Amino acid sequence: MLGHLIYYRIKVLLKNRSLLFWTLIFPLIMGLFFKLVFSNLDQAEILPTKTPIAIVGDNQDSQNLNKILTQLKSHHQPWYQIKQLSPNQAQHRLTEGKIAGYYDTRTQPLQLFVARNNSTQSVLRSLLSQYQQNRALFTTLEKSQQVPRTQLMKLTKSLPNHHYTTNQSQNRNFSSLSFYFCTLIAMTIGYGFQFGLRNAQDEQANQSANGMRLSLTPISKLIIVLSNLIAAVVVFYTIVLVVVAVYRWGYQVDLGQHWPNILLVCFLGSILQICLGKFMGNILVKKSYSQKVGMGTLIIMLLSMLAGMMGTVEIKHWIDINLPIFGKLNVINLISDTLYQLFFYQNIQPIYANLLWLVGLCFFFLIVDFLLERRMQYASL
Amino acid sequence: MPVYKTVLKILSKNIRVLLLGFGVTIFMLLIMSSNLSNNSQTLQPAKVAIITPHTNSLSRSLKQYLNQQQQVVYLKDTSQKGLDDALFFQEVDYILYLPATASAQLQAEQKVKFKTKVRPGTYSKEMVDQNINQYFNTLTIYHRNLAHASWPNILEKTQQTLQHQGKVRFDKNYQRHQQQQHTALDYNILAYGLFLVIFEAYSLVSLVFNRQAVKTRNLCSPLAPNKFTQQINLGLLGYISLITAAFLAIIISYTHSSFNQVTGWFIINTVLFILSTMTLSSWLSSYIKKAEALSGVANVYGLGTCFLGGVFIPRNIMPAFVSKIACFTPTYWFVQNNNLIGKTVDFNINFFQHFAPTALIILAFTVAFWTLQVCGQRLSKNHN
Repeated sequence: MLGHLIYYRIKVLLKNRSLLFWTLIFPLIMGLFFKLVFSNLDQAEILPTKTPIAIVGDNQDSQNLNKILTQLKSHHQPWYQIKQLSPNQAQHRLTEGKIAGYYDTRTQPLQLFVARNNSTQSVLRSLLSQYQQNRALFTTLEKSQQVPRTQLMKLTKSLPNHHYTTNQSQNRNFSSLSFYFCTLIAMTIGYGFQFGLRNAQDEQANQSANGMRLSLTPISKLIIVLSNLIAAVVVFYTIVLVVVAVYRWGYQVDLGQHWPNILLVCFLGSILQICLGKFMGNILVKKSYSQKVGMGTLIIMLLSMLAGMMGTVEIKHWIDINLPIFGKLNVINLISDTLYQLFFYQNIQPIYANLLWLVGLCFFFLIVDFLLERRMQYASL
Repeated sequence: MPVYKTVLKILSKNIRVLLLGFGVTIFMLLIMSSNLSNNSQTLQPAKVAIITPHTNSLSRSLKQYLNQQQQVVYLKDTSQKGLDDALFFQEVDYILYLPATASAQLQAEQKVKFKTKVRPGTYSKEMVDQNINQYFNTLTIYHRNLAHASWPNILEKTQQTLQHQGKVRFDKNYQRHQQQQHTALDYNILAYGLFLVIFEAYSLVSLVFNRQAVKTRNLCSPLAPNKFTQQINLGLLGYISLITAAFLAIIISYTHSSFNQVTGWFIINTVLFILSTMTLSSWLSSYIKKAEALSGVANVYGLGTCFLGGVFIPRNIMPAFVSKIACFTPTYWFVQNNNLIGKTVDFNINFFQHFAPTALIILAFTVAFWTLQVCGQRLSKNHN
């Protein structure tokens, strides 16, 4: 009997276009937008090369600066395209945005003129500071009279430029695109609440004609509820797997290597969202189905935003540090955070705490749903 | 004016749904605006964290130097997980591990390499790497060349030498420019909210009047079809005017804008966008037969065009072909003109030569959507 009920419930769910749109089509469309828009996101942090800048003045400082700036390269590409300009020309080009900034070497101390406040200007200021500091270094050494003239001349020609740092994160993947896709998978799982909502709608006699009919059948209510839950989990989890597969192999998004754990998180998240949807359906009896869907969709969007989906990672991180309980109770954040940890962490030990939260919340809502539906009676229908 | 009154009744009955879109937009405006660039007169520093098991004169001196050059931040959680999170979510851009033995190693003139954690290839890496190298190279030069100086004396000399800073002068229009760009981004966010509230209003009214029973009843009413449509449009226009005024009032007060030329151009651009959104909503809503489809269309089109058009993410970091796709939507041109106003200081003929063609494109979209709707109506009339 259980198998029969599950089979027909699956058929009913698969014929519901609205459910399929929000849980399958919408995430795939959003994923496509994300892939198109966010694919270059990490390159915004990379220092641009061949940036046009200018030097004003013709003296020793301008020559020195020119020499230093010309030597700066990454991957054989020069950092800057330097032009020697008159003050008026430089100012004009700066205002028009044709150069990132210009050094005025006619005054002491030297000045950097900028019209924007970006990474390029920060690096230009840093380079100017270093130039001034090296000049101060020679002055101090000269004044100390402890350094022989020949040694000082040698230092002037080539300053020791030893590298004192070694980056430990050289081989790690900091892809922001992957993070955004983690939030998108979490949002997809979040939309699973509609399956729970649909189940509650079809099971409760005070919410739909189907519910009335089901309440009169000579089958245990527990069997009906259980079959609906299993069918919803089967359909929804399959949808989530399809979405994840399209993201990984269709859109070529790196989600990490811990696939058993990723699938487990998706599974637990799916059950949790179905239970949450059912809880919502059971407590908002007086609202119409479309009102509940609208409300739930809005809540999912807001929770997704707080989970960092819309360029709001700073808010997400602030909540994780200062309001960790709220971060865990935001199920979208809980799921996306676990997926991000599986993608980025070298040691995945911390994800077990999140898995425990997921399991705990699943049990909590399963029990609450059971208590809400148990021995439900209706005064009139 | 019975139809006009009915439209107002429909809208007031659904006021919660409509205000939801309004509320979401204001919330997005506040959240996303807080993430935008600052207007300060100092160049953006990199955020550096120094992790050291032992605080000594060297770590204090280095910290002081890095704080002058960049911004040294304190991390609450220094566990592996905490540091990974801080780096990934850019709470910090650069983590430097300074071992307790660093001072002794430098004094013994041993070769030292300090472990760092930073996103590979980023400008923060290059900049802070240079700062750290500068500090230790200066320290080493003093240590090697000033034989009679004590270690605290060398640290002091290093500190004094490295106090010299590059002097930065901002362009005279910098402050105004930053303020305008910030305002332009706030106006860009309106694209999502305006579409949401206008489209929902059109769809809700359309759903009621396109219901078969209501439609047939209206066909035999004594009101001419033209009058009928006029009254519907009048009702919706009233609502849209009200909601636009509310949006503009909020954005003007939020961005502390005064009623000057810049605000005027922003308002003109917004009004043009509203016209195109009205005709688009009118056309799209005529095809919506179920309430469930409403939020689907609103979200897919609204979010999609905003993502591709550069509302949420700056266009300069998107692949070029995305802009080519996005230019088939009015949102793209609305954002284009907002960004143009944002970066313009002199509103001369040169500005107008750039603004006018884009404004005409938005108007062309308005005409195109209106034509599509009229053609659709004629076709369905012939079909019936």
